[in-house]
Amino acid sequence: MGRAVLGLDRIAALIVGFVLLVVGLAAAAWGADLLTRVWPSAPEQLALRTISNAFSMTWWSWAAGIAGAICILLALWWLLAHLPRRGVGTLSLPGSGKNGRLSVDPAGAASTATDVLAEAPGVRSASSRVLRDRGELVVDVKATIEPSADLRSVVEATDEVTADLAQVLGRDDARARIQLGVARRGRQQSRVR
Amino acid sequence: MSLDTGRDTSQSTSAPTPMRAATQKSGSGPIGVIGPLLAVLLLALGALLLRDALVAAGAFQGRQWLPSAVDALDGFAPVRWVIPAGIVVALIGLWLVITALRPRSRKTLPLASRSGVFLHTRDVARLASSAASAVDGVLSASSTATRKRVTVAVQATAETGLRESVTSAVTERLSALQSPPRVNVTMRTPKEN
Repeated sequence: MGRAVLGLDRIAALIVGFVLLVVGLAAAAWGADLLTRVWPSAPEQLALRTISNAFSMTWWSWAAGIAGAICILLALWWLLAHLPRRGVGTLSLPGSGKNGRLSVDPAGAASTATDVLAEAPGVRSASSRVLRDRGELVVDVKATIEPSADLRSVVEATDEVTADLAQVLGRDDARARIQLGVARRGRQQSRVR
Repeated sequence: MSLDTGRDTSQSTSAPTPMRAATQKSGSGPIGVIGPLLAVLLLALGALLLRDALVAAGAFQGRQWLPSAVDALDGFAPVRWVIPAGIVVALIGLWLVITALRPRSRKTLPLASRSGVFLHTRDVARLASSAASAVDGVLSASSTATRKRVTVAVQATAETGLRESVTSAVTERLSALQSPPRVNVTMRTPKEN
């Protein structure tokens, strides 16, 4: 989900919220017979005859159909925009030119890196994906560590792994984001290191 | 520990540089749920309009729902329940406005690293509990954490000197964080239970 979509969510929530706030307050004031204080000509009952007459016009079916289709298309686009980002495909490597193109599958390299990270002391498991986020090529790593893990040694391991990954990818614009999660309970370390 | 990059890192004169840190992730908060919810409501509105359009065009039999609803509301005069209903609608609107304007939530803390390593506050709490539990004399420990403070509740055999030991152990465990949160320890001994 991108920042633009979140911005759209905010604007829509602001508009709908403001409309509900005004309509709700007006309805409560109308029910309490206080609306005439701010709106002297407030009606004593709802008069919707004009709207009702519009439904019998010939253009109504067309207008409703077009508006309905637009609403559905907009809503579907809006929903799809909330789906998680997909990973990037192959990346060009320095040296690509007219004579040939050098490329690398970043997901494969990142997966190997996380396999190495998962072997580090205190790290239980690790996974990764490569995506574009806010204009950056981001290697997004999630690693679960033991509750008793030494954070400094885990950080050293992540620094080593991302350094190697940076060399493999050969891209200066690649960035790392490593989210460490701590397991709820520690477990007996069965592997011999 | 290294990826197979076709080089011997142990013999290199300078250590490879870790990948640079990506921008820290921030949570979307409630707006991340409200957006899709509004999209679903828009989809329902679109479906309603399209259905009424098809009924009005004679594509299939039935009553149009929107004109029926407007006809039912025509001539409606305020009754007692309009006041609480209006207040509820206004409160929902106010909540939407506040949610739309609230800044994005940030619940991660960076570790002192060169490659962008982060911990969620929930995981900081787990590390604190683990560190506290490992102190001699502690029967059990539970923690809550924000970005600025960790509160550790400890059940211990005796209180004398233990608060300092627990504070020290938790502080040490969290010292790898770039800005370690302040540690508060609350003690409970069997006598108090």
